[in-house]
Amino acid sequence: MFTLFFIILFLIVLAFLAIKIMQTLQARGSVLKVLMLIIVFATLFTVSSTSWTRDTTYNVAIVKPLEYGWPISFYFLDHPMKEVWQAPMVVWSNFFVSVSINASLWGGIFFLLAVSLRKRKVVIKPSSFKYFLMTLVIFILIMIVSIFVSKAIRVWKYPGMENPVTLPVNFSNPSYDAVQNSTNIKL
Amino acid sequence: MSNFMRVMFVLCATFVLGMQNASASSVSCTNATDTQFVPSWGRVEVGTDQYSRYIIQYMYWDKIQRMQWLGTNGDSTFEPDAWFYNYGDQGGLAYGLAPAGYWYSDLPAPYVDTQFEDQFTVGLNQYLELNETAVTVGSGWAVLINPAKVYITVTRMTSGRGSSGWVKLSAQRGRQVPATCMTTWCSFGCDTNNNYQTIPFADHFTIPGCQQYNWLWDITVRRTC
Repeated sequence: MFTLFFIILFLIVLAFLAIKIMQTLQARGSVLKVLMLIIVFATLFTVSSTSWTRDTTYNVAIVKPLEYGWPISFYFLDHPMKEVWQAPMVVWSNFFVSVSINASLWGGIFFLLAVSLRKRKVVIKPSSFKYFLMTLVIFILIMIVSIFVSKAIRVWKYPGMENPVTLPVNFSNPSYDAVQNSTNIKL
Repeated sequence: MSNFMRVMFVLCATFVLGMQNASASSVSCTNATDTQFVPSWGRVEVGTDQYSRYIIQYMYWDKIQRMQWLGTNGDSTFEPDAWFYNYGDQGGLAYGLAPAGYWYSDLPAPYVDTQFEDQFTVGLNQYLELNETAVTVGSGWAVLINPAKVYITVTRMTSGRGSSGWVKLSAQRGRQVPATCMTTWCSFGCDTNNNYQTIPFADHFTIPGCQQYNWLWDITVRRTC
């Protein structure tokens, strides 16, 4: 429940930031401001993706490239937060590379979108709730697709893992013979 | 307040709340003795079939007094933890790493436990590894557990690097935070009188194999099945 709450909260913030970035790009605002917004966006996107690219039903350590965030695996959230500053360098290097890749990728997408919309004389206004909702829906779709992709890769990588384990036939009997054996020992 | 400021405010609030949530690794509970929540009898089978390695656990409380704490706390949770020995520097390679794929339990509100917040150390190839890997199916609503009934948990798991190894079992009581939430993310272990090792590593119980225990059910004893 908490996880879902935080994922949704993250996506809302990401959608806000995406709109803000495109507004600023369309208005030809300060480059520094755009860069700062993109870095904040990329950081949040990377952190957020650690939640929705792993299959929480089946725990961790299943699909390395996907479960710890796009696009590079790292273990940021699996290290206790109170000790995160003691995390080995490999954690941080992976994290920063992931953030850089996401910043380049999403920065490019936002730039192309802003230019494309401007050519069509579509202006994203600061109070544009319609575009905010559209962006939010897109992020939710990305999240859902990622969940299915990570699940599909897991099924492909570990075939047969969904099959039930054969249980002893006498399990359904409450007077299970092993308990009976224990009782014998007790007596 | 501009939109930008509003976004920043939500951002900061998210981080603060997230860090508070992530750092809550245990909760305070009312006092309990081991004979008020640890099963009277238990059995563990670790093995492999054509698809993967798996672990089956059975547990049994012989009378209601043996689960008094679980039964009198409406928000109680229970985890029959299985830990695989993975101290690489001492020659230990885990037989199982993490739950994966099929799982089942007839415990009330069952969930596959997460390894979130378990302590990682830097292992081979600079990957973070756990010295003890937990593979657990817990109950998010332990107040509904009945005495005189054999409960079962079973889960497949990803293979560790060991073809055999050691396993330990521990019985952990906990609480739902917040109450009424019964998922793995809402089950927190109690900060006192917790984690009684029903089968300790010191037993050197080698898996694959089967072992069972009696916990103060007249006597405390462990033996192979």
